[in-house]
Amino acid sequence: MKETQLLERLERAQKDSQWVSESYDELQEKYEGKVFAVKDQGVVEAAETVDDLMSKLQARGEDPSLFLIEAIPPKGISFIL
Amino acid sequence: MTHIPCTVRRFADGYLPFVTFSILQPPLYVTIDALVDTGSPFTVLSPKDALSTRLPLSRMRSGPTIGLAGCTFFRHSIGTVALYFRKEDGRLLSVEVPSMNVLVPTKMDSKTLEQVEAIPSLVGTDLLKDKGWSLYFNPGANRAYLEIP
Repeated sequence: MKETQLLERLERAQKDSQWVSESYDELQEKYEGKVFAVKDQGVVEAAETVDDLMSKLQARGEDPSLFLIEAIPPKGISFIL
Repeated sequence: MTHIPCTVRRFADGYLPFVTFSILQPPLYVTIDALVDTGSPFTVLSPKDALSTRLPLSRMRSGPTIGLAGCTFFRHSIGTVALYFRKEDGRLLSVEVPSMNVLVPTKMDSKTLEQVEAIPSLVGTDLLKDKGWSLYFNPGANRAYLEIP
């Protein structure tokens, strides 16, 4: 992969990360208990498990490495990491 | 000094610093948003991010055990891995992690996997110490970055 492509991918993923944070409540409402793939500040696909999500992306002809794979903790669960 | 920008991300009940990096090493082709966790001595890939690369977690159930977020994991080493970051000046930075770890749940049943899927990958103090990086984190100002020498 060319350096410029990788930099574009990283910049896009940083924007997607910010979008996930800003859209947290809405995403939690829609995708609680699921995993979902984010690209260009939108959810492209969601599934119950990571395996299922990867299969769905591949069935669409998508390259999974181009997505942020996200999961939002269910409401009422806190983490001390 | 230059910086790697971090995202101050909402996570569960709080806001935490996350940093984005890519791995381009077969079979690990993935872009990850990892929590910069100064409470973790280890840099680790989460089960979710490892599974997204189709790593066979069920065959990686070895290594020291560690506890995280109420669950127990094997800390399975996958050897040296290069991480690619985008610096604030728009340039690429590549760093080698001599012993990258994958968090492999000690129980691999579907209920456990569901419980751990929200746990993020972690950039731990091993990487910060090895590379001489420091973390600036000001959640009130929505600003975080890794300062690199």
